[in-house]
Amino acid sequence: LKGPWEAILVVALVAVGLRAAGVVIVRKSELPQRVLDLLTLLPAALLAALVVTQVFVGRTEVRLDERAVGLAAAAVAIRLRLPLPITLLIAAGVTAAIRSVRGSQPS
Amino acid sequence: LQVISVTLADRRPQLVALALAVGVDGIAFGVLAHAAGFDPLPTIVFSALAVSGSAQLATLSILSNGGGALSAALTVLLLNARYVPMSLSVAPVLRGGLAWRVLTAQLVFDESWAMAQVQPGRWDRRLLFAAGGVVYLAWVIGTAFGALGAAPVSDPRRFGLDAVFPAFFLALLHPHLRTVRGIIAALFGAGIALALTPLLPPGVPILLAGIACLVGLRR
Repeated sequence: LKGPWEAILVVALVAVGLRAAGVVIVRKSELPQRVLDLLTLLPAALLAALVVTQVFVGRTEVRLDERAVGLAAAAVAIRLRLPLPITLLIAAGVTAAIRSVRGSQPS
Repeated sequence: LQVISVTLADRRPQLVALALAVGVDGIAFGVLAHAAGFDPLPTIVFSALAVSGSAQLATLSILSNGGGALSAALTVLLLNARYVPMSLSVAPVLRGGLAWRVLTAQLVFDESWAMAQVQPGRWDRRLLFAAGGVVYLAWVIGTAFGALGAAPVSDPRRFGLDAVFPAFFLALLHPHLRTVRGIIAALFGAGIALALTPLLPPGVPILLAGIACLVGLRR
């Protein structure tokens, strides 16, 4: 690969620009109540979307694999109020264990 | 001040977990970039400037497949479009001149943004800075380890590391499920994201899942 610099700088600019967009648009110190009502629920919607797209999605297709079991184990750990670092270890450990039992398949 | 310091101290285990998860992910990215033939310097600079795992991985695969800067930029534009509403939501608590606000808005990441929401619709600036700083450092340092070939990990999937972030996001999601509206927003968000995944470029389904927060308009 030669000269990845152009892509690196352009992509970085896009990433920086998107994060900057919100503060450029909103100059006020208070948002209208209507907008606040929406933003309150934005984390729930986006986090749920991040969870499912990172667990149930292959390249571009919906799929069910070992990650789902790891996530289920993490859900139990969260339910039991285990510390977060332990929860993450459980998720990785269970996923790795099932994967090694099933034999690694190309994704 | 007292209240804020308590908040930060309370979040210490979360910040530690955050550093671990992001650090490991950074290592994985560095290893992948190394394997794809990237030199350590551009890889580390990329992490220091873009600070976005999904965007950087997408760029990596596009360049590896012979794509150019433009297609990488367009993909990342869609992939990270959710950062616009996220940055919008923290805008009221970011103070100072425009340049400083733009700079501090760079600490908005999925994890720091979710952790810094302390009340419904209310973000804590210090928590955002703390969590954002942890993400930034862990990501860049982890990338450096991986890119320099210093990491013992060759295949992150073998260790189940691809399940770490979903678990992290699930833990961050958990407190939002205390209200009926939170549960509905989460279910709609997950449903929209999965339903649109086969139809749209990666990233867009996540952005559109944000529409699920419209359930908040129903009293």
